[in-house]
Amino acid sequence: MPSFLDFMERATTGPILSEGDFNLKILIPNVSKVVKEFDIRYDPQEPVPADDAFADRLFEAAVEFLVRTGVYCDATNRVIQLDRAEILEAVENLPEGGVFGEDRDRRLFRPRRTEDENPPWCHVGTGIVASSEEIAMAQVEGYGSVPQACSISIPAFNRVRGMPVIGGSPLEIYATVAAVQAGRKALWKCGRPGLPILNLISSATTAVGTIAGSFPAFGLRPSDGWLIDFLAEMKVNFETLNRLTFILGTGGNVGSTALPILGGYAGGAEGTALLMTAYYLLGILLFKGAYHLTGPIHFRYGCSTTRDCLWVFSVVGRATSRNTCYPDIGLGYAAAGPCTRMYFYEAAAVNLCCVVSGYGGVQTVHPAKAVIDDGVTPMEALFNVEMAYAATGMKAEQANTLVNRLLERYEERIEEAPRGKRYQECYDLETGKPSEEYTRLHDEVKEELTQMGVAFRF
Amino acid sequence: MLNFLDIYERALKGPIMSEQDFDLKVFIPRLREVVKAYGIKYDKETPVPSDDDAADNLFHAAVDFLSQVGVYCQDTNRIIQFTRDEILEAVKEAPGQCFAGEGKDADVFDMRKPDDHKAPWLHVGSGIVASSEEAMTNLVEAYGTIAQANSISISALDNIRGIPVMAGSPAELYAAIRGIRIGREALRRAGRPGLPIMNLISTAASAVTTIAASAPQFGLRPTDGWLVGTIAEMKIDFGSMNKIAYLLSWGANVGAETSPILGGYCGGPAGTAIASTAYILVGLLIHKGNYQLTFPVHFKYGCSTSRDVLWTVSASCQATSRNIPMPVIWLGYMAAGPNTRMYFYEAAAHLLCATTSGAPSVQTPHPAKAVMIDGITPMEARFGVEMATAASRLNREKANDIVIQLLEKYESQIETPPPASRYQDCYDVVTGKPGEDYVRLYDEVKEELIRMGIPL
Repeated sequence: MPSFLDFMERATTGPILSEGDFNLKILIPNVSKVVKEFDIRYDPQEPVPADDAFADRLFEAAVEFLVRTGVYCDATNRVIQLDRAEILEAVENLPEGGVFGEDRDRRLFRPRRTEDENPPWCHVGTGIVASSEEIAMAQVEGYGSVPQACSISIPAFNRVRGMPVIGGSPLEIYATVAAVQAGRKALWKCGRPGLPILNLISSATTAVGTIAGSFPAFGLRPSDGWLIDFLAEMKVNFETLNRLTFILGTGGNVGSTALPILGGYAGGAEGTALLMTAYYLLGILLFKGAYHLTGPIHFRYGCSTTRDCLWVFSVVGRATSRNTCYPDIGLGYAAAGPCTRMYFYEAAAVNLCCVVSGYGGVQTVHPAKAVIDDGVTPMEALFNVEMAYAATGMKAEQANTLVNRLLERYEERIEEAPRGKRYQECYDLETGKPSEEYTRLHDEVKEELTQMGVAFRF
Repeated sequence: MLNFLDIYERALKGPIMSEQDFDLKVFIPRLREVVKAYGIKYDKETPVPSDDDAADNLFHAAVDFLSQVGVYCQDTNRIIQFTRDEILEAVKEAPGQCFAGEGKDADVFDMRKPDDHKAPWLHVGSGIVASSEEAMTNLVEAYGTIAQANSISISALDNIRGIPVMAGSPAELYAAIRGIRIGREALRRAGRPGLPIMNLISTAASAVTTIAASAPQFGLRPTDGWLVGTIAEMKIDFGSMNKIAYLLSWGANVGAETSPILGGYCGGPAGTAIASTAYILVGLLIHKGNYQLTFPVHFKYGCSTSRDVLWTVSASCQATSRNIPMPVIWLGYMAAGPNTRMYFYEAAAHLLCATTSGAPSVQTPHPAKAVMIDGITPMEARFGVEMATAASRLNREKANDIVIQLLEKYESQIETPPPASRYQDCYDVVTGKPGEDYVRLYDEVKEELIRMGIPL
């Protein structure tokens, strides 16, 4: 299998062309052709399909698409080309899962199959900006207190000593170190010091911030996980590749991250599913990833809970869990924010699609499109874990029915979803406890879902 | 004392202006005014002046200049300003020493005064590009074998597995890590595993690579030294500031690196001497450096051995060693390359100027303006050590006489130095031994310098 340095060589010697030409003459035509050739079709009535033959065809289509398209390096204006044999060899040689965390919280993150009876890896929390260290620590402590949490995401800081953090500036390094240290301290406080942080480094938008914040004395360990993104679509740059070189060099866990945009270069649901599947292959082969974080984002709505996005979640999960053993985490963005009924409906839908379709892990569905500072609380984290366990072992047909019913409850309101509340508006900062109103809402929604047929285990 | 976050805040909130306005409306006119106000004058007959009052006057001029001009941040287009009191407070609080190295090679790099007979801290080697790992290994091993070496510089690599190193690319990171590993391995072979590497990171042109390759997993230690540059003249950018923020966060040795250009914005030797002195203050204030590397160079000739640059080195070295407790490595760029008689004359002149003027440290003078790939050998390193040690036994007056004699021997050839040899042209790459011709030349020059009065 080619080494990372071999790929770097391809990034400097591959076919040269402008980014515009790559998009318009290679990427978009190849998506259309492959979708047609492999007969990839979206069925809006079936957000959780159960068709294994279709799933396998989607996987084959992704391999073919990747062989035809490659990955564009926008720092060298060259295409990194890949051949079928090396893609399949990389998939074939994947280990069955990876180990994350330390001491009592060290766990094996195993891949799952469709309708698997084993609960998924619960990745808890978000990298949504926290406006203060106090709030960040309260959130992380809340995440760590969820017993089923296998790993967490820590919030990002966007100010230091009142100064705004500019990407690539020295302040980004300060913010990065402060966020990592706050995260570790909060986990220690809740008795889970070994819990792995898998969204590194949330406060760093640049490679320099990521790499500087990874100095071991600041608190990170190779058993944590660093998210390294593809650029939409099918592109990398030196920022990406430098992070990758560094993390691979230090033996850290690389989390390949792909959030393809439905309605962008990928086109509709079919093209987005194709790309989202292809990104798995790139994560395995090019990024040498230990895990994969993924989910579609709707170009217009900025969330992942539209009917077509849910279908993409489901078909990609089925295709990849049947054909690879790459540990993956499904990440959804909800349109509605914390302390709203709609958020719970959306989160439930994402969990039903992901858990049933065979994702190895699911992350707390991000409230309010992840754009509101302090816009997440441990209640969402708890609900997602409850929902993930409830969906475990469920059949696709049942999940499909439930998701359709949930969509009926929120689909029309996606464009004008309620923003919800910030942490400090529905949690007590001193005690770290939710407000009565929020607890009541959570209990009511759970009751409602139970009546719909969701069997909560706790 | 101002901490680095305070400095960054000033880079965000200081007076805003274009870079050109800073150059033309602030830096140049203020420098001219200060040269005039303090009566700083270049005397071409005295490349090594011995006037302590003049040295102190130059220091005060530099303080005044820096308090009027500040340092321009290219990324925010703002000036980081300092008051005179803040500058003097930084000087007062400066520790004047740097702990470097590990084990039996751990040592304290501290201060010297003009005419001090204590030998300077001997910083050996260069970051000149090596074309192969083999050549680099031989060079570093040889540097480590010099018993008097207190710290070393390791070569830069320009390719990794034949892939050219592009600044800011992953190939640069691979090459930087490889360079460090080769350096450490070569020092182990030389029996000096604890010797500090103080030109980090020679293979990294970009901040991202410097930061990445500094992770302890790759072999570096806080007791090595990282060079963080300023931009000519009196400018800094986020790249350097990021390196500082990172290195200070885990207690690594920060070496402020400066190279004032005679004939550029600084004007002539008087202005360059003020800037050269002010840069040492910048190293204290912005970099929070615990050592500094400086190498004034001539705009036209690209070297440090013209008569006016030698005077600049002597004058600013005296001003700083008498007044600023900052361990500075004084480095010179030579016009001539390895295996030439002229190189040795130039190197001797530069080392005489710096050492007798109180340089806390001197580095192997860099041959051929440091631009020739493989253009350095252990012979220059050895000569630098012997010459600096000998120079520490002289005073400024005696050094001045000898430097004038040396200038007579090479001054007219600065623009057209003789052809030089690369490492592989004058050394056996397999055994790491110098060719007979080079050994003969070395011995002849040494004999000649002894006759001139240098106690080699």
